[in-house]
Amino acid sequence: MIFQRSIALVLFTIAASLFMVKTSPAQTPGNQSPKVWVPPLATDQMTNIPYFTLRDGMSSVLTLNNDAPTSMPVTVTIFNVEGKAQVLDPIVVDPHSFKQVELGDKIVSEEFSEGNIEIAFKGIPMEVGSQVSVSNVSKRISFESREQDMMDFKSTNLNGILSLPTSNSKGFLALTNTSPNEVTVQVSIGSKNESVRLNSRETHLLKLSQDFDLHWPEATIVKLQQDGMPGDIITTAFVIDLKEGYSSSFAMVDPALMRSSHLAGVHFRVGQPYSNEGFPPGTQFHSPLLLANVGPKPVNAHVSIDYTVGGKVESMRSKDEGERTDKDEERSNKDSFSTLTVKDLTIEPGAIARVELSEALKNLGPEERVTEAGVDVDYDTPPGTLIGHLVSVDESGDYSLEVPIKDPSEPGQMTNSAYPWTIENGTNTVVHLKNTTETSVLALVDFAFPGGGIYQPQPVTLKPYQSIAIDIQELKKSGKRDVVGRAFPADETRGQIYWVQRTAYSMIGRAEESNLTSGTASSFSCNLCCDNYNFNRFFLIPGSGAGLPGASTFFTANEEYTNCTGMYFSSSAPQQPGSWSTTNSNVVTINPGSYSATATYVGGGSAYVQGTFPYKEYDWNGYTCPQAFPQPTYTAVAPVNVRVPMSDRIVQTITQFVPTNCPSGQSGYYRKVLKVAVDNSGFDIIVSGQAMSETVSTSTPNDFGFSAFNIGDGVTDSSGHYNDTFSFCSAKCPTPGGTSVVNQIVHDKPPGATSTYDLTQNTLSYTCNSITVNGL
Amino acid sequence: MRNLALAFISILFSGVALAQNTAQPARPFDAVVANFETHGETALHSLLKLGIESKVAFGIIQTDDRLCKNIVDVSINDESVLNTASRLLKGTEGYRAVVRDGTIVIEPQMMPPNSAQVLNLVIDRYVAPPGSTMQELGAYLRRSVYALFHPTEGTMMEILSGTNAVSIPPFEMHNATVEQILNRIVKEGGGGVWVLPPIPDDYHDKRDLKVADVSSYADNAEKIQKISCAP
Repeated sequence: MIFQRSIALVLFTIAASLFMVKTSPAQTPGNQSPKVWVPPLATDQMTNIPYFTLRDGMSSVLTLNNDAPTSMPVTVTIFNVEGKAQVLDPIVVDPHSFKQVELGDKIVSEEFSEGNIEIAFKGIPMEVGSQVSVSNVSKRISFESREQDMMDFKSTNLNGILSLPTSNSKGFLALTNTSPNEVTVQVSIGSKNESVRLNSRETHLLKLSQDFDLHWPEATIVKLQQDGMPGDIITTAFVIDLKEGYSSSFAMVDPALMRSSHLAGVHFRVGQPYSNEGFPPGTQFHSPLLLANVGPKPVNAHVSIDYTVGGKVESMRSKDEGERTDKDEERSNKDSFSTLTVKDLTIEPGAIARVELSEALKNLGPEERVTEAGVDVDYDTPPGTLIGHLVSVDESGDYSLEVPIKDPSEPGQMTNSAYPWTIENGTNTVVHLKNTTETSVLALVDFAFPGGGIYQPQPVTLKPYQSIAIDIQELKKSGKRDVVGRAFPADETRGQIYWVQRTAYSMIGRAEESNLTSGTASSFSCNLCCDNYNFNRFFLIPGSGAGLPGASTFFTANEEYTNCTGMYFSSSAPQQPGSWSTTNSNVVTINPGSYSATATYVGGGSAYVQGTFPYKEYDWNGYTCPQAFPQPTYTAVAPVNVRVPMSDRIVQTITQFVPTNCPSGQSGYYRKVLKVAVDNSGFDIIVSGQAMSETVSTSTPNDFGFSAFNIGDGVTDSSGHYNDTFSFCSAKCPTPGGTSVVNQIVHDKPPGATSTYDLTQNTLSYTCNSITVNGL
Repeated sequence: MRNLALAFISILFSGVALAQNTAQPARPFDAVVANFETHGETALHSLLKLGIESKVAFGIIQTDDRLCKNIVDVSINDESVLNTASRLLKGTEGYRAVVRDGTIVIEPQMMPPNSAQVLNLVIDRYVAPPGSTMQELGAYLRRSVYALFHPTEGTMMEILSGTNAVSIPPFEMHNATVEQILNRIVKEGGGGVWVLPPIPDDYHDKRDLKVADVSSYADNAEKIQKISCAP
């Protein structure tokens, strides 16, 4: 067992370092090569789910969530409570999709009706997320048994808060030994202890209420200690009330994993829900937050909430019939986001404090509904000494919705997360994100569909501490176009949602799937990866520029990401302002802004417009996801080619003839041609508005004695064309004839330019029966 | 000189109210201008502006700098183009607006002999070929005048123009004076203006003699704006 874990750790480290492959820097002026996303090597991966049960009318549904861009064969092994294995046929999960397996349909006999599950696949760590939803629809209860990996443990101690909120609620703790060795587990509640010895893959369900004589309205700390290695023992803890339909998981957390003295939860419910959410009339939620001091010293805690009143931040729930009304719009316009201090309190060692969050909002008006809310807890003792537990529950206890309380900085809170979502069979999925910091942060969101399509909404900015909801059903109905103009596909009803927190450890999130018909709910908060390989590059739009002096181009900087599974995020603004420059101010000058710049062309030649921006890079070190320091920068470049008028050429002769309007006794010749200016690269300048003028002078021979010239000027049309008319009259025509040579210099002033460019001199040759330009 | 020209351009683009709702009577110079405003501009440039906006043919005889000394600042409502032109000349001593050959001619009441002689030169045959622009027609007239004084010398014309320059329908005039030909030219193709510069005493011998600067409202608006105020 120890050997197996070591191998896994090594593989994980290798995979993580592979993700950090970067290309060599700067090859062109001011440029850096994009960081090419290199798919990491697939290695054998394994994860475990502590508990499932099919007993007492319960069903257990295994969800396998494939974050990979390719189909993923997954091997599922069911272990019964005695550690006996039943290996299921490989289950292939489509790319960027999930599959749900009713375990009751898979077990070969009753002896596999309870136990634990091992999930194995070949890929990168956490590429396949898994979770078992245990439910009894007739009893309207459900709870989750979530996968647990090595990174969820750093010590052999776990702490949890058991709350029995209803008169018939009972607490349970399922223990599973994932190691190959025998492990002894000590569970203690108050002064009572219970010891359990588990062989490899065995599962034991502790009946906490019965074994420790716990009764409503008990709320107590459950402590676990085991004599194996961290992660040998994994747990699922839950409370159910089969009579009233109450059910909830509660977390057993490793205090050694906690890295900040901050806890947060997103989406708790208070007061009446909107009628269109489907709850029975009169349903009233409250949200008791339990905080337990598991440390040796008193804890001073500060509890605050954020809430939005009057409507969803990201999307509006609509009426049942799906129509949005004026009133909805009005409500949306009146959405208001606030934060509020709920309570400052001191908790003695071993004590549990109860803070009713709904109390803080009781003064809201009767028409004001809290549509989204989150909670933050700051405390003054070392990380891990305070743990929290929160379940939003209605007065009957029938609707109980667990709100995981997490340390936003714990290693498991990766920058990339992927959740399954479905809106099938009466289920809706709402993704909840919460900013746990005091500065605004950005979240990138990407929906992936089983057929391979994606929908990428605009990046979401969360104000300090703000919680937001993304109601997928409503997002689909809204018809909003994504960043590249795509609509949410009408026929898609399931898939995955990926989200990336652009600042590591700044947010928490989860997807809540609820089915009010069955009265069940699931919460997914699967983390995916650290974004050490996410940043690809900054790039400029447009990618290059060209024009004549006087013209200008407006460049904007954009950031491109690829997450660890290859999901591509584009067209988001850089996180921080940058600087702009030009490699040659004689060619192009820059008027810079924070994220954009106007480049004005001033002279002929090539140069680069450069935008340099800092970005945040995180490197997974096998335990945490720290930000790289000093902060790296990346320079995006756009080549510009400033063309200058160099010469002109005849496009065609419009007409030529011997004129009939020469003065008496004279004759001559007339020719009108269509011309275009040509740039320094030999290309026609197809630009309207060029002011063309000229100077002419006689040369030799000058048989006709030209000394007086009539000249004119013109402006180019949209094809860059202009006319040039030559005509002369002389008494020497038609006889005796002769030749006069005239030098012509055409001057070109492009629109907006401050300079006039002299084109290459033309030689005009006049005879009694022809006029040629440079011999043509 | 350049400063004055630049100032004029600036004024033109400064957003002064322009002539509107010009009616279309039988005689264009009788057309009523609903509103014409000019502020801080010279009489010459105010007249040119009136021509551009009204599209009525103008001829301007410059004999000295009087048209440029007087700065005009008026707002005129519901006046004919001719009366408006006369109003613009108030304060410019010795100048008047008259109509000849359907063209409003701005002339000094005391015409200098040289200018009168040039304008009264008779061209026995003047031909406007098909497809000619107004600039070209002006050049042909200059060629005819030049041939009067230098019958053995050749004349060359070399004119750049836009591809969308207005083509003047062909016409031919016999034994017409220079002024009659100029007045005819500027009434064609959407109208235009001729400006006769001061004529020197030795104009017979000058090979670079400018007879008149002929410009089309349609093709040469920018050039008209740049017509120098200096003699």
